[in-house]
Amino acid sequence: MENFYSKLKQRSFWRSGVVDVSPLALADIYSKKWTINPEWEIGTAGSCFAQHIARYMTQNGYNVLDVETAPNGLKPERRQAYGYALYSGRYGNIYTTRQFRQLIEETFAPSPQEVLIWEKDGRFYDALRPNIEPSGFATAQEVADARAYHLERLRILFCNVDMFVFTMGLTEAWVHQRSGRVVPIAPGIIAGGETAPDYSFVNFSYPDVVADFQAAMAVLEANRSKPLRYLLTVSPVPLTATATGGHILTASTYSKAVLRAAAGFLSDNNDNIDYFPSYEIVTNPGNRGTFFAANLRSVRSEGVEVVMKSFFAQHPPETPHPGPASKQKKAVVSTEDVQCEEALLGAFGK
Amino acid sequence: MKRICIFGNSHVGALKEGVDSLNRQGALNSVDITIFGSHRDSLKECVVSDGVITSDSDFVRTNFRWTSNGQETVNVADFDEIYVVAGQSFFFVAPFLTRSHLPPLSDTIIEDIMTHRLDGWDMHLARAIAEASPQTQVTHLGEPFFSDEHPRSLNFLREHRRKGGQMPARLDKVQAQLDSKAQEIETENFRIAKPPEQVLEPNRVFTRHELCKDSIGLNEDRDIPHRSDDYFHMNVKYGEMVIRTLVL
Repeated sequence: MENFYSKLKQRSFWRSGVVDVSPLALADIYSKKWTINPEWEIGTAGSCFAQHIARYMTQNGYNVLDVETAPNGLKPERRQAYGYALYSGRYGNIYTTRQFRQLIEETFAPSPQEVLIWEKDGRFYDALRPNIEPSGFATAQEVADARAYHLERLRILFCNVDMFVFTMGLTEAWVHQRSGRVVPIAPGIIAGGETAPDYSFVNFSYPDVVADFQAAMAVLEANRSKPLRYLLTVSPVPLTATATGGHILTASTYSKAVLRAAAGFLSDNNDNIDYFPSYEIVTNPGNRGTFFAANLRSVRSEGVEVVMKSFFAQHPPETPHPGPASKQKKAVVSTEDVQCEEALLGAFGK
Repeated sequence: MKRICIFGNSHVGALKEGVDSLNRQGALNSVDITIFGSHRDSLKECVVSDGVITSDSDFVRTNFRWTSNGQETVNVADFDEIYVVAGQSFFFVAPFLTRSHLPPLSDTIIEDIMTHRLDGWDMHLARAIAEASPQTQVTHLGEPFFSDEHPRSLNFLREHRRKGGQMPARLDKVQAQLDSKAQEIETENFRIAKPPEQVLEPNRVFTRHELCKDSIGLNEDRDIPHRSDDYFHMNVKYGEMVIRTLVL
């Protein structure tokens, strides 16, 4: 006798979809919504894990834009320390959809917004991307000049991209109370300790995450003349610390659940948004935790490789993917080879 | 009479032309200039040993022989001054540019780029020459800035005009930090010199294109002009200006 489950594929059952298959090659876990045209210009942003996706796409022939390249004479191995060559712009990690929204709103704002500046030891930092200058700027004016240039470049990016890859990372953030803007890391970790009273903690809910992303899309649509597609992913990297006061495991699970649900909702309800399950591929119980490094947070190179293999199975690269023994691949997937200021919070653990 | 050595790659060609021209004008009576040239980056293979610049490369030694009228090695102490014309000029702003423009740069990024530049083989060689003979003044001059009609120069200058006041401020900052760094690393007998102002266009970023026209290659047997789209090698006028300003 038939029932609703009788004609479903093997992938739809836990045993045949997860238990009995290799976690290194999950069949049918991702079916693309649309084909990525090789001519498309692609933008990338998100939490630390997004750096892997951006680099893999670039090295596999996708036309990933970088509108804010490093000066020619800055050694390649020094570029990431200054926030270059990580994403399509020098915005650093964008952990929350609120950050993404406010960046796009600021990019297209009719008049310049106040620049949030942090100070430490006589040096000045852009509070919205404090990690791009490890030693800060010499003056507050330099921060403002660099931000104006950054936004000028981002207008080019956001007006030209055909597809944007965004990796959602966190729900917890710190809000500057007067301006309502969120910063990527709590004041005082990198700089700006004396401004801490100006900030309050927020843990974004599912409606917040969805609404922020929709608002970002609306601003982009209003300022562009061609369609834009989005590829959403959720970072599998757990939180380093929670400011909720609760247990880090429940806090991390909450954040990831909210982000995963929001990404799913956005994808289910918009033809131009596709969801790619990097989160599921890495956290699959079939891996028995082996995709995580010893700190149980960083994703090991093997995990990144499996994630990207699943992606390229649906979106074959323009140029062949380098083999496992290649030097290039090794350079791409090192677990330590990402810039992640959120990891600094770990230093505060007792 | 001051004994001067000009040591470098194909860009010594313009200086050689300048020296020959000034000699014809009788303007070099107080100096004795010897040129040691070898093409491209073959000077990377030079070492300074026991006060002598030598190379295992037949190519380099052969080039030294004909450019200097007979010497295959350079005895550093034989000269009062040595000018190293190899590697990018420390004062050339190209390393600070992106494709077509100069972004606002922090002092730490500028420092990072300068440090990398000072770690180049040509800088190491120039310093090694200076260490070999304390009484010899060694100057790293580097290659000429490229012409202001190079496509990248034109892009930059267009952007420069479009940006009004922003770009000059950024440029001033980089140039001021370059000046300061050059002073900081100067020693008793080693310095880094910039090209004379008069060879540069008003922004001091590129060489005036007229000094690039009709340049002649560094060749032993005959004068072969550089290609018309060579924006890097300079002509006799450039050579004269550099010799008059820096050497005389």
